[in-house]
Amino acid sequence: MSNRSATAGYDRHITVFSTEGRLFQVEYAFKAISNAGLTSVGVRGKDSVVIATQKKVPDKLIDASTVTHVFQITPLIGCVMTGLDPDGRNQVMRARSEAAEFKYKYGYDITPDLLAKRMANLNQVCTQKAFMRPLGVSMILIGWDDERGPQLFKTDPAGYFAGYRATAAGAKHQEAFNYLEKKLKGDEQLSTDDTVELAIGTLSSVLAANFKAQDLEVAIVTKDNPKFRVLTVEEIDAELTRIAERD
Amino acid sequence: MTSIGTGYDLSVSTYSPDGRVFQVEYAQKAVDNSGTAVGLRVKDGVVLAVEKIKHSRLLVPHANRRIMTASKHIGVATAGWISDTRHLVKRVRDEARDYRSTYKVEIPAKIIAERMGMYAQAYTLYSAVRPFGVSTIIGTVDADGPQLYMIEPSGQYVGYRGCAAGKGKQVAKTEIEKLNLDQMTAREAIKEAARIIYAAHDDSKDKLFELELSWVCAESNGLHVHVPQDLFDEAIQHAERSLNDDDDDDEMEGDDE
Repeated sequence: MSNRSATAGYDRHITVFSTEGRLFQVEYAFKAISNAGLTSVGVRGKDSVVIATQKKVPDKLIDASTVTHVFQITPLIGCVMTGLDPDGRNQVMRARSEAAEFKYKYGYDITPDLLAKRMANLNQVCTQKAFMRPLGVSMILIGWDDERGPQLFKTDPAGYFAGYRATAAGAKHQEAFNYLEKKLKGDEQLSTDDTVELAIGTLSSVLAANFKAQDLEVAIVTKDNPKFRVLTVEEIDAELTRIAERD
Repeated sequence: MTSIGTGYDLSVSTYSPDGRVFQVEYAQKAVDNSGTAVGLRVKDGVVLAVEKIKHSRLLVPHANRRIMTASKHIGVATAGWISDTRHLVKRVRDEARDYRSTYKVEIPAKIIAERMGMYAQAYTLYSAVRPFGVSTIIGTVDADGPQLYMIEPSGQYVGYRGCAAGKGKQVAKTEIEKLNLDQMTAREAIKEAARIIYAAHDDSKDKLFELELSWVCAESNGLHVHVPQDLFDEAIQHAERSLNDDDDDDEMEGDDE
């Protein structure tokens, strides 16, 4: 019966609710994120926060160094974009612009939570205007807040955002969530090593893959080094070795 | 799954129920129906080649160029609608000029690729406009060496060592993968690019075509120019010879260079 309202044309227009009060275009935007085929995770520990995503280079002729889904937004804030790549780059550029404007207006660096809120508000605008479509990306944002410590946020096409201890986005996000919920049952505050291990371990488990260092992108922010930093292939390799040796 | 949009494909600001933006996919089809364009990034430069399909014998040879130059050292080859190409190349030129005016150095390849990617993506957001029906191949030599990027109608762009777009894309890519691009020189690449275009050209569909070849390398003094006539003729000879030799792909005709 809900199919009838779908074909009645409600889902074509973003400003219009369906008879059950759903916004179909927003739901379809979420499907676009899964279609991209990649999964990303973020984990927040006691003194650090880590994001990890797959690096798939489908074509031998592609220069792998130009393929990335991890972007820096400010010196202390970065993100991983999951979903439609062009939309992802659009959001990153916008986030950088918003952060720079904030710094100019107020004289101090934007905090991760305010940036996440701003990006989420921009996403919401797309869900209310007829002439635009929502962007088909989910942004997992990490950063160091000097009052609150490590921060992890996720925004989505609906304009929703929240802070997380651990989160995931993309094709296998549901499986990743289940895995993370099992692992983080209590209120444990993980060490930096454990945080990295959990992030990479989640991807390995959920995607049932034994990753090589070139198949992953990992970025981290820690108390000792609050600058947003993307790990090099050698560093990722060292982490994978450490994880393997533990088992 | 059928790729017919049926109702979800009328505007670019609409997702289909399975999360696809059909207008962008259709724009990609416009590219797939046009003449092949190829880019090769080699040791000392970048070579661009285009299969310019002519619809009439009355067209002046070597006129109506499809490979265009921006800012003297950036080459732009496209597959898709030529009118959209002109719009995009104008944008490349404006971006390059503004960058140089602001920063006093030539725009790096990575930045121009990003700007064009963002520009193309912007046209996939609003129902008032349509996406560009063009895949843009940008080749240049900057401070990081030879660079090759391809920007698709969706705004997606990646750096390549070799890329192809258009009708003969599959054939071209298969041929490119066989090449040892990192060791090749621009001079050798010109001949390979010509050969690949000839191989990708389907004579049964479009009889009349003209090859366009350009390069950016030390020999061209870092400028993006159409390949000099003598090298161009050599390349065509090489290409025609390869076509006539039984379609065998493993020929390394090292006779000239």
